[in-house]
Amino acid sequence: MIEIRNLAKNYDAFPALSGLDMTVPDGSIYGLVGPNGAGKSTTIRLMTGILRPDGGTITFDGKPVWENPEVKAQIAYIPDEVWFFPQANMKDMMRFYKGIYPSFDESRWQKLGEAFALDDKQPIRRFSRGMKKQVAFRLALSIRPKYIILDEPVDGLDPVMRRQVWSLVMADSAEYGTSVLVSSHNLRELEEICDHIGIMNKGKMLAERAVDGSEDLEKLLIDELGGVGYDVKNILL
Amino acid sequence: MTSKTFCCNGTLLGKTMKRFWPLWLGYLFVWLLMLPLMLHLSLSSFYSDVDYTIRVQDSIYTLLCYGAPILVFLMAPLAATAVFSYLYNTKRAGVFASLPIRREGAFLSLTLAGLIPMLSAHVLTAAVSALVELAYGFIDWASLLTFLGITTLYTLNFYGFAVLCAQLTGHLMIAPTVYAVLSFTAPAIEFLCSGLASTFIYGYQMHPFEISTYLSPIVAIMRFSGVEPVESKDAISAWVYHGWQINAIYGAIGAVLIGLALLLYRKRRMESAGDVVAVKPLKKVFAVMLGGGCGLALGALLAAIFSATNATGDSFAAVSIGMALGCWIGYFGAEMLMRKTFRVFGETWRGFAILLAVLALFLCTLRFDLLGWERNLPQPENVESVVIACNGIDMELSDTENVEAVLRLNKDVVAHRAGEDEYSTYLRVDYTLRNGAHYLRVYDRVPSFETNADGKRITEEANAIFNSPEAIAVRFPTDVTHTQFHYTSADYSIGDYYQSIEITPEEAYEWYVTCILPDVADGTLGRVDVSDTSFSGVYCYLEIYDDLTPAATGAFAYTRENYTQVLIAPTRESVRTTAWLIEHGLPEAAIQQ
Repeated sequence: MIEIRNLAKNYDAFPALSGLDMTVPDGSIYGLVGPNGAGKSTTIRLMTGILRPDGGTITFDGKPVWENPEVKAQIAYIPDEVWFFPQANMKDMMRFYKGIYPSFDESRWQKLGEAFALDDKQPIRRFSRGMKKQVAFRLALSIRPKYIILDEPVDGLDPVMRRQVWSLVMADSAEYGTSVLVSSHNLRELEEICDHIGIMNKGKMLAERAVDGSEDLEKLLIDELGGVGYDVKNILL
Repeated sequence: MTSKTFCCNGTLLGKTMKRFWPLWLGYLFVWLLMLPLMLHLSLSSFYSDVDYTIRVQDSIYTLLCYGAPILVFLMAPLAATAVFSYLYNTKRAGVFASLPIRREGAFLSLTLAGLIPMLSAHVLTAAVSALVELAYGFIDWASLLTFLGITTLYTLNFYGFAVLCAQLTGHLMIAPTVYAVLSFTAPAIEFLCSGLASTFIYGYQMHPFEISTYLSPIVAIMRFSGVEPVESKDAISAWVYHGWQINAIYGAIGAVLIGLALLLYRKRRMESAGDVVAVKPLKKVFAVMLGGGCGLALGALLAAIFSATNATGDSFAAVSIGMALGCWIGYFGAEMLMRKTFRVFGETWRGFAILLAVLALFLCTLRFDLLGWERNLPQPENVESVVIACNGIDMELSDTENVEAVLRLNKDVVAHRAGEDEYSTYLRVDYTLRNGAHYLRVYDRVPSFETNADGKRITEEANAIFNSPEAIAVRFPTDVTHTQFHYTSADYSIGDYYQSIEITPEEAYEWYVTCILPDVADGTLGRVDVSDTSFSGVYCYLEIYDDLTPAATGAFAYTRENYTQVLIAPTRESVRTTAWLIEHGLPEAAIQQ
């Protein structure tokens, strides 16, 4: 379980997060939504140990993530803009991840090659944005992570590949109890895959609840954010 | 969890080294040109009959003194910036920071990824050099091991500093810039302050870098390391490299700086990627340094322009305005760089005002001599000796009376700083105190015709010192033998034609003992007048050495201790000296009254 308590983060004088509380249950697929500047990406960068919190705690099964390789080795993180070594092809990246992540599963990597039909020897820099995202998913899933943290993960993927990716992620969650946190503006997609939802605004968590796919997320957001003066339709769609 | 996530991570280390292979290869290539190729060319030279080992030592040690430190100095920031380049891009910083590696482990891996290829290049260079030597039938292990040892210390020193600089910024271009600027900051600041001081403080002279040299390792290494010959039987038997101590100290400091860099890396905020200054407390320091540096630079530039053009009037106002303008440009420029906006004036003016006040205080301290430097002269009893130079005449004096006379002259010069003459006198006084310390005063424009409390002109005071018994004894040594005489000339002019008389060392000795010294004793020769140093008529020059044995290198050592120049201008009054010259071919028409 991922627990965030009273999290605070400032960029110079600007408070990006203040007193954020959040809970991602084990095995859940948690959708994090909110308008631009709500603090979603900052939260994710804090959860992955990239940024250091100015206050509060982030724990994965009770263990802090900051400077904790044991916890970070269980996290697969795909940022909104993925990055690979400029000269690297997929094999190079696989070798790198294999050397870094103790749980890297090479047989899974081979197996996922069928789902993501890309040329192993081609430099990744020559790939399109969507293809790069596919490489990122292949690497992330090969880590056999306990937690997958995704920031706008399917931007650039075609509809078929989106379904493919989500089905792989949901299968991992169902089969291995992997907890997934997704930050996205695509509410329809979140409605389909998420079983928990968190709504953020101005660095705080406005609402957090379990969902079963029957809810209208847009309406939920309008209820939560409309009250604080946002034109939700314009922001989210 | 496996230990690889805590300590040096082999994958990160290997990947980073592999990623920048062109940089390492280029470095190795330059080394191969600089050492093995150079050794081959030196050893294959037909124009030298010097032993191979001595030639190799000379080549390697000379390279270690000059080329090697410069190459490592240039390579270090490239290597450090390359291996830590992910810190300068938000995307890359995020990917690296999310990896399950402790910061200590990542830092160690990346630092080694720059260090190992540099050291490997040195080892390969030494190995190829050994092969070159082997091809000529020998190997000089001592010089090769010295090469490896010293280049390792250079690497620790410069790379350690470059790694630290890489942590100070979040911008790819700024990291090597910071390295380059900080490497020369101390000598540059001393140079600028010294330049301003020499403009405003009467008697202050810009002096060679002292303490600041040590704060610039590249300058210090090139200044204090060297190569010296080992001589036996009037020939060089080996060359010895001097510089281990200073390099060991800088190497150790480099290692400490790597430790300091680790502390900064552990605390680093990854969101600083792209920032000019990545360490928050250093942001103000950066603005102050840039503002202060630009202020001093522009002020010193204006002072130099005033001095070079001999502009009339006080340069204080111009330098003040220049300094304030430079400070303004530097300080707000730094703020603009850091804040990435031009709108910085409203929020940061207080810092600028404080910095400007400090600079103004500094300038006023110089201009109005608030520290009393001009009047601060040593007590006579503390002075061991004094070297006085005036209008081309110089000598070292140590008699108490002369020391006191020089101090009186010095005080009179300071008292008349405001005076102006058409003819000005140059005066340089270097007091050596009994504790070994020096007081140096240099006056470029002493008003020659100003008079002191006794009604004596300053030039008359100087003449009294230069013509004192001690001064004459210094200028005309009496305890000499014919073997001490070397080069002697007697030049004269008639009309526009200049001629000279050839005088052998033996003749010079006879002339000196039988004619010159008696005339000097009579007071008809050897007296000087600092207000009139334009020799006309006959001008004679003798060199008297304490020891004429040439050094093994074949060169004489020209120092004040073993070499006396005797300059005389014989007249009709110096009867013996002039008669001797006429006897040896001097036309009488050349003699002046």
